[in-house]
Amino acid sequence: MFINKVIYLIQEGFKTIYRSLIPSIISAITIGISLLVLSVSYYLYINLESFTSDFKNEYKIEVFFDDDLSQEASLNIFNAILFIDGIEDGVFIDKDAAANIFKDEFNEEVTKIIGQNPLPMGGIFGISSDYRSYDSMSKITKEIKYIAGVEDAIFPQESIVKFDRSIRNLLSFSFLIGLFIIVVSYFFVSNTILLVVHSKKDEIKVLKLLGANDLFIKAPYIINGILVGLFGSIISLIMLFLVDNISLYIILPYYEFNSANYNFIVTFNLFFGSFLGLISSTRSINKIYKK
Amino acid sequence: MIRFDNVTATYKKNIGIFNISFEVNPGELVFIMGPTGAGKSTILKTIYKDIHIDSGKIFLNNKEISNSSSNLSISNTRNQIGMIFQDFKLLNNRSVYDNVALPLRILGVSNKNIKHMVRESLNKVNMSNYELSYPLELSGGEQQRIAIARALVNNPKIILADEPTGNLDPNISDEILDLLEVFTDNGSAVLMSTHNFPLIKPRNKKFIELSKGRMV
Repeated sequence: MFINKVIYLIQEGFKTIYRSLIPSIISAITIGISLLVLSVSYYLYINLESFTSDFKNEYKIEVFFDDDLSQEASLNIFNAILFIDGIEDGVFIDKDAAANIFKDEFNEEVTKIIGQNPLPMGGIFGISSDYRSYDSMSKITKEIKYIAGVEDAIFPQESIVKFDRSIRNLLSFSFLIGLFIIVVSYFFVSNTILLVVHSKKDEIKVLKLLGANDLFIKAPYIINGILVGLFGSIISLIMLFLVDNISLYIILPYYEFNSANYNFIVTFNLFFGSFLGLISSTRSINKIYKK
Repeated sequence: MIRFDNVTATYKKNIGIFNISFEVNPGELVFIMGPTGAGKSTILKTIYKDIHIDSGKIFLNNKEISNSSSNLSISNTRNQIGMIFQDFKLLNNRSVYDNVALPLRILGVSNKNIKHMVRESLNKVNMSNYELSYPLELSGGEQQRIAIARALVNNPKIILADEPTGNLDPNISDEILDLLEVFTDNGSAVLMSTHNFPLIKPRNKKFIELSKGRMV
């Protein structure tokens, strides 16, 4: 008996789509567009993250040793710095390398200007990914400065602060936009389903009179909501496929996008679409049912 | 089969039914008579638990139904009763077959049995050729026959009819009464409300007369 009821209620869920075709299509398209925007936001987010990570690979700390240190003493300090937490790797800069860097940057040979090489030995250190923030790098730099024989340690503080702030703002903005889209589509879809349920008020009354329990009356509308959500996610996936192909065609010559995790996107769309349909239809049927 | 013991049910002060007691036995067709507002529908509503009673007891099949008002007990009570209304209460977006099958769907009967039971019920009301029609394609009398078929489809022992002939012309009303009378032959108890005394007078059946919510 229970199985017969379940089969019937699922069939009714499908039939409810047919019986209220226009609102169902509008709801599915709304869910589809919301999911498309969320998926594109996710796609942009992972590309932003990879772009951020590429940029942060360039975060370095430059260390200058005292002038009077021998090369051996300088190498010892260099090796000691490599053991500090957060230092990923390093390049030792002896006097000749420092002169070459000077030449690369100023296009002049320091020995010709001054008559000798006054540049100190030092090192350029890469930072482990977990430490690529202003606070962590300040801490590491301070620690390096305490080492005897280190004259100075610097990193591009201002640009890191600005970059970190920009990324943080961008992510907060995307999060707020995503949240806004979810809330708006939830209310839009639930109000559209509310119209469908409202138009079935008399039907619900008849079912109650015939002895149908709450679950029997509510289930077709809830199943209908889930199905509308699933259709919405299919619409979103189709549009996403088109957007993906078009954007690759337009943008690929200028920027190599990281391809998204398609399994995740498909699963997210199907799950979130049906979830959105479920909570919207549950809200609507409960609202009408209480009256 | 249906027993009222001193039942009072009120909507507002002095509106409702007061100290009603009667009994309907298996195979009996009993009319509730009275003008509009006398409380005919209220009696039926207390049986199918659309309104709660203030005092007294109601028994269906020797089981008291007035002591619980949970949703489950309301569904269980309604599942035992066949109900017929003046405005038919058919679902216009479903076929005759689907309308008649509805009480069986609620009970979770298998498709195979539903097919058999719906056809049998439509046969009883002479509407077997209308399975695929929709209610709005039918006349008032035909719609009421479909409503009767729906009320009888799960062979209930109790049938409540709330002014089932109110919207029908005299000839069709007589046919509907004939149908209801036939169903008492297999032991069902039928309780029907009506304000049309000339319709029921020739039938010589037991009736309960109401005035302002009280038995006369």
